[in-house]
Amino acid sequence: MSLNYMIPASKFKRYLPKDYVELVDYGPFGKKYSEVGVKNMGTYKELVEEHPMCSGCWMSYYIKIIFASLPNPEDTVTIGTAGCGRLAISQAAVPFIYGNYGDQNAMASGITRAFRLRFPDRQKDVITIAGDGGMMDIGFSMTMHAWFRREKFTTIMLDNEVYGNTGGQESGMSVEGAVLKMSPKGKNFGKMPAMQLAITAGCVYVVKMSPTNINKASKAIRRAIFAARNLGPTFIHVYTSCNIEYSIPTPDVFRDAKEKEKRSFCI
Amino acid sequence: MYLEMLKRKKKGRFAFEEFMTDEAKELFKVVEAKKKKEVS
Amino acid sequence: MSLNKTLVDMDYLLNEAPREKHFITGAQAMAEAVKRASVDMAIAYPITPQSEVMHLVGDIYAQGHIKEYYRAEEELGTMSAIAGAARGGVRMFTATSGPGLLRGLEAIVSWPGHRIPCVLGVLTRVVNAPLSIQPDNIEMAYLMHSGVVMLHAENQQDTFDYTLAAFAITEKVDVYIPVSVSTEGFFVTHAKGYVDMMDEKYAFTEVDPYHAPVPAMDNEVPPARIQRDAPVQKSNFMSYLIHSVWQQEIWDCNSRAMKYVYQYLGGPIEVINPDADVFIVASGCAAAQSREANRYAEEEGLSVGLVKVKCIRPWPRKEINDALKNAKTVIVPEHNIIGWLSKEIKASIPNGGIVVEGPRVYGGMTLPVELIMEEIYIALGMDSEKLQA
Repeated sequence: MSLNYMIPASKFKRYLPKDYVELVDYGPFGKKYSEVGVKNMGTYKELVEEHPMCSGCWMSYYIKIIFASLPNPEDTVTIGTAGCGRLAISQAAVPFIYGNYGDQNAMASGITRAFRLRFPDRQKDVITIAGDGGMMDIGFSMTMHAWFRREKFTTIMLDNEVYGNTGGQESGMSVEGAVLKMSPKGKNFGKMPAMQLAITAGCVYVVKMSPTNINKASKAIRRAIFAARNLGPTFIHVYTSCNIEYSIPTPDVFRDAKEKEKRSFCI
Repeated sequence: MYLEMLKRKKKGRFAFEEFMTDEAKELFKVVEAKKKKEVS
Repeated sequence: MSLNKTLVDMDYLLNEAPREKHFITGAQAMAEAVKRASVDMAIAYPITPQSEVMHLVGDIYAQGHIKEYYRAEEELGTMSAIAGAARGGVRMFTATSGPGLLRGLEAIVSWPGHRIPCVLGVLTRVVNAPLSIQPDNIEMAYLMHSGVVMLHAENQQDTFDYTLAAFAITEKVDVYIPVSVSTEGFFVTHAKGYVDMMDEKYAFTEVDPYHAPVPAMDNEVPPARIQRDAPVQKSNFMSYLIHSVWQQEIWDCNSRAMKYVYQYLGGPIEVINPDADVFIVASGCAAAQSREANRYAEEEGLSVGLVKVKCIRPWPRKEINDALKNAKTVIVPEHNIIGWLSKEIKASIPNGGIVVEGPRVYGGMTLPVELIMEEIYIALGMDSEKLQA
């Protein structure tokens, strides 16, 4: 039913908002990835278009990549928590659950199991998308335990190395020495080893990247979703800078991402 | 930025860290093979 | 695993299905109710020794009465996962106690607003320091302001019946918020009592996730949620409006649960000796002791009334007002130090001054009937020394 449920009756169509109708007619629902996907961004009605993110926000770009990469957008549910990310994620034409602080992976555990009970022969993708604070600080226990329990869904951490949405406080993923709110003398320990934690906790597919290459970024997302369907938890740790809190001029955002790629976000 | 990313794609230089279990590796092989079949 | 159940509606299950007497603990009574409720999924976290409900529910899962069950990382994880699973359209149950309830409270207070239908067992326990495992129902005070429907069971039989009824109430389209069933830890959970139960072949009709005011988030049922999200998280008049009307609706849902409390529990209160001047009003385990006090009083030829409050939310303001309209004194025995029930009663009746705030026991103490009797003697102007005799 999943594809049909969003297609309006032909006579009803003209009363629906234009945005909705365009999504049905020109969106990625029910289409092959080769027809839509990241390579064709700009040629079809994307799942996220307008969003309230800051100018030059690298995170919003990555969120667009996530939604353009979904193998099955008409059967996907995203879950997030407080943070910048959900401002754009909630604008996507995919059901989004915004729960309490840091609870995304616990909530995903519940809904994934519920879907598997109710639709044993169908695939419904569950993806949690949250920031470094939501994943590795406040939601740490729920993130880790979902992995230990081998819950079959994808976790994506949008790591901007700071609490961007609450005004620039230090997070567990901030770099050592970073002078931020709540670390007025500089952070005195380094980034938490999220990737190693994920591997140790049993994730079957883990990627850590600065998404400078749109195809590679998309491929990682799709692999994470496919592996989560069949095998177990998957995790993508992605650098999505906060150009406001780290004072990166908009034209330099990409350069910053490339630098990160060379330093902390590569092998 | 989008155009710049496309340009970058052409250059084909990138680096990232990827981990997969043997099972995942097998799975991706199947997925890739299926994709190639679809294209041809 | 098919257990060949006969699925029936809640009216039949509670009122018509033939019952047999069993001698079981309160924890067993709650688990037996869950067994007959066609629960899809239960999520557990230990709060032993307060309650073994979730151990027993695990056994029921192993026997095939429940389709999915797991032990979560801690209560916030449990309650969050419940919120996720319920959105996936399955029938959910969990039980917790005292500190566990408070640890999960952030998620629990968001359940009504998220329109999560589920049943939460609350087997009461001390939450304040010095930490103790003993029964004390102070945690219910925190739950009272959450929007959750709250039933308070007096004994093992109530625990069984209320838990079953809760599954029907929570899924009513005009309610569709969680229902909690509280009872006192140890005094009820670990003590055995007689419970009349229907055969376990009878079970409540399965959940229909589309019979709901908000559709399950399963990408199956129109209206498709592919429109852009409303900006509730912004600071503007639209967001204030959205939040306020939403919360008003939650509390209206809570009020609308009252008609189902009548349907399944025969009303939110039970009144004994309605013409008395002196009343004892109590809920949960304190109601059991009050019932004893009422019996003592009767034996001594004293006219004392009893109001047992079964339902804390929605609060039966009208019913309590009617029951107490001719009362001269209202004694409210409680198992907590703050006296949440007496405060509610005081605020509900026009002559709140007649409420005696107590007797109260806490930290695990039992509630001796003599304590209640002493208040009765004082209320009747008798010599309370009689008690010592």
